[in-house]
Amino acid sequence: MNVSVLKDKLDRIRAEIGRAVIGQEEVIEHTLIAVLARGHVLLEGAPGLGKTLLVRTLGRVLGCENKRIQFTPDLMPSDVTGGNVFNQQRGAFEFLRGPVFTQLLLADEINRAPAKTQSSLLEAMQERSVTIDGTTRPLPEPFFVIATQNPIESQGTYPLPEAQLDRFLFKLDVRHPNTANEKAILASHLAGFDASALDRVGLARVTTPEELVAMQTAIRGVRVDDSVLEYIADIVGRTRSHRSLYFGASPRASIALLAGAQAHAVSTGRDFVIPDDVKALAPAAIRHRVGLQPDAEIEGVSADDCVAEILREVRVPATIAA
Amino acid sequence: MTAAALLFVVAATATGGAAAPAAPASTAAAPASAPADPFPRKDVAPLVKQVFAGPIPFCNNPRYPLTKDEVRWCTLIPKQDARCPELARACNRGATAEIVGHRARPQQSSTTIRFPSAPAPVRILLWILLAVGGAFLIYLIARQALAQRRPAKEEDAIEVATAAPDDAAAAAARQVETDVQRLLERARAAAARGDFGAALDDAYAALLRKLEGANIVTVESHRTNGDHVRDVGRQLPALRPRMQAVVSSVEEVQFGGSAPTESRFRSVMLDVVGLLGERLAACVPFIAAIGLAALLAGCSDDRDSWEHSTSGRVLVVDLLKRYGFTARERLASLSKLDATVSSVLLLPDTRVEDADWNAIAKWTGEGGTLIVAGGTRTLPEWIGATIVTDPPATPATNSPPPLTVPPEQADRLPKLTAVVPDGARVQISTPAPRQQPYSEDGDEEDPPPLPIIVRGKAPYAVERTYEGGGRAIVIADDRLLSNVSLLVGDNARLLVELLRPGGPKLELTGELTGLVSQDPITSVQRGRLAPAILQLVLLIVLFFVYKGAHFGRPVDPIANSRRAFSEHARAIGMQYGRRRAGRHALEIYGSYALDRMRERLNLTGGKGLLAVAEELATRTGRPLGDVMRVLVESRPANQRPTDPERDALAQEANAAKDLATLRDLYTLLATTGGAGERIRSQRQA
Repeated sequence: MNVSVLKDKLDRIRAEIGRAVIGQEEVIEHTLIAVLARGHVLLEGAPGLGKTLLVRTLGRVLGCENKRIQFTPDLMPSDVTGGNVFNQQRGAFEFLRGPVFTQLLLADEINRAPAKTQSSLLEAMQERSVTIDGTTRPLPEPFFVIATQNPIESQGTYPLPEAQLDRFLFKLDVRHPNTANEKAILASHLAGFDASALDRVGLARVTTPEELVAMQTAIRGVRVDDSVLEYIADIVGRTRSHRSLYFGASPRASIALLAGAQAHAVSTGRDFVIPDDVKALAPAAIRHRVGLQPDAEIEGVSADDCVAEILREVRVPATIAA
Repeated sequence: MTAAALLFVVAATATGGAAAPAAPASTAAAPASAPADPFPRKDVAPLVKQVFAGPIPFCNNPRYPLTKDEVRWCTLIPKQDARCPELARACNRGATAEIVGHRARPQQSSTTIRFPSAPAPVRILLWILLAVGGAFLIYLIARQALAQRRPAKEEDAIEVATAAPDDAAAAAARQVETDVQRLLERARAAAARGDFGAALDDAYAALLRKLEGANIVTVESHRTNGDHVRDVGRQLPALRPRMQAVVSSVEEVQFGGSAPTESRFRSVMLDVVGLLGERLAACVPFIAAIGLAALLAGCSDDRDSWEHSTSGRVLVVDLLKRYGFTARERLASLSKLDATVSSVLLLPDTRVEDADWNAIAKWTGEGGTLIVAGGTRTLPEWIGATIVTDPPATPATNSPPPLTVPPEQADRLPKLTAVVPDGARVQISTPAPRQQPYSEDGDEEDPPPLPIIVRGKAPYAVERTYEGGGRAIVIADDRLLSNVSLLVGDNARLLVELLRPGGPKLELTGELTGLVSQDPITSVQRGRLAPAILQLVLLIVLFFVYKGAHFGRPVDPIANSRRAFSEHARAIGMQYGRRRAGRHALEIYGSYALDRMRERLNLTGGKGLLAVAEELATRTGRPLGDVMRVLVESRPANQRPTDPERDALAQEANAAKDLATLRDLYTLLATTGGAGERIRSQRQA
């Protein structure tokens, strides 16, 4: 599968998603890149911004089986992964598959479940398998998790542990639409659009799961110059010595940035990565992998500010500047 | 009334030649060589009516302002004239206009720069300022030129060495070229030697530097090519696709692993050069529009608007054209007169040089007809007449005498009536010179000038014919050639009859005649543009000096010779490092630090290192042995015990160890107070 075919597919996917989700182009773009890079996405935004709609639309357009778990405080790990249940008729234990056994998993409001339940996804997200009672069961391919969380509510929520956060390729901020997009959303609803009845929209299925896996495989062939690798390493390395950061990003962040940059290059029709690809994705790939110093947090410094500062400090490869 | 009294009758006994029509084309090829009519007579009255049929300002505006001289025609025109209905009413208002500017060109002198009259001190000051300005300019240019030849100073060499201890190559690599032209030259040079990778980089760098100079992009180490493309897109959206194309080509080589081929370089270079010129090209329509506007302003209707006035000539020229003359204004110099012109009408504003007169004489000798209409110039002798403008014995009257034809000229002119206001007269030279200087037959004498029209007893117009077939007609003034004159009696007819024998190829000369310069210098001289051009050149030179533009090979700006203290300290440190004198530096600093510590810890009075070490260990919490080791390590060699471990180490390792000791010592010193401690406590606060 060459770059032009990949780009064509991506353009069609974008167009189809755009029919249902209006005014979140950057989130859509980044989510697609994460899917291509075999990564998971954490969507953070206020309620009502179309996070769930985006995931449902994505599942339809990509032709993937998708399931949804509404995370609640009383949710148990077995509610996610499934478990062995005694079958009285057969007199033996049988494994009942949990909702994690799907291709596209929507973990809605993931921070409403306690850390114990959230952690049930750790192996699934990293290893793409689930181990229960000593038996490891692989998850279907492709597999990706899109989780949502609400940043403004603290009552009854459990912050995601660092290990969990690190497993998300990108953390995307879903922002409010501007006036023009809001008007377009209203017009769409006036024309009969109903988010709960996506069937009526008539979204086309652009890919099959097999095609998606082929696309993910093709992405890995995108060329990355040594200087770009150095650029990525420099950016991530500086998060570890930044004065406002308590801890920096892990090598997993570098890998995420690399994979994302490859997918980003393809989405713009290139078969090689340029520094712009890295720069464009650095905030999404790093912001959830770093911890702010308490004083910086008090001063209102955000992780995005730190990443932006780092990007201003790191020398871009092949620049002509002194 | 007076017009009737002014009538004069001339027997219209046309000559045989007049009756025989001749083709104008034949006369066009060669000047009139005989007093024969070159083209048939026409009835002038209908032509005059046609001429006045258009919107003539002085005929249609009862409040048309007339000058004092124009008002003199008022008694001569008919009270009721359908051709010019409002002129009589305008005349009733009298002279309401003044000639505020005369187009007559003063006698030209050579272009000189004259300063306005001013007191001597002011003039001296002006000269001093000019001299200082000139000297400053020369100084700037000389400094620029010397800077290009200046050899690298020792100081610069030190700086390079100190700034880049690694090697000279690293220092050279950090020398960033920012000059667009040099980058382009470098790109071409690299391409010429086959290094297309470097050529591409330089070409792209030239583009970025150009855009940076135009404040379109900002070149900084953290900005990507995409940032530059977005900058261009924001400020010059039309250029974004081309910029994107260049960036894509360059990135394919930089990051895409594509080979930097010649075709790729040529493609990029073409785009780069195009983009570099794009902004200039964008200004071209603007500049062209300004130029065109200036041109149109120069050709505005104001020019020659006076020709439509009562005393103008536009209607006269129109009449002559309708009659069959190919009358036109002569712009070329009279010295270039040739056979393509059959007659020349010399108007008062015309400037005639000696060379022109010679050419005219030669031309009339070959059959051309010269008509001199008024003016105060001195006519050459071969014409045999002069125009006299001596003040009249009696003031001008409202009833000037009519223009009459002497009886001996009765066969020359038809029956007509004519009158013009009082004015000059023609005086025939006595004795008349024998012949025209360029006469073909040197033995024959030319007949003397003869009056063909007189006013009272004074000749108004005289004519002299030459053996070569040419003739010279001198008319006392140019009033017959004014627009208003066509309305009076048979003035129009008289004018036509005066000009007709000269042939249809008539050229009227004026103040613009001969202004077509032979060379640019003459043009500038005539236009008196030399001071303006000199000032412009001076401004351009100053501008280029200010901008540091290329007078020769471009060079980087001269580095500031004043350096910061830290730079001196760093340079000295690097010198110590290069000489491998780290140990020496440590010993010096050790002595200094120990003195300061004793001062700050109040351990003066010859207390040994142990006392200092104990105090420092207490303050810092570090082990006493560790502190003591640092103090001892920093002592001069003759004051410390031999260190077998140190001796075994290589020089590089010793240098590193010395540096570590020096840093330790600095830390210990800072704990005793002073600037280091103060800074640290401020930071902590």
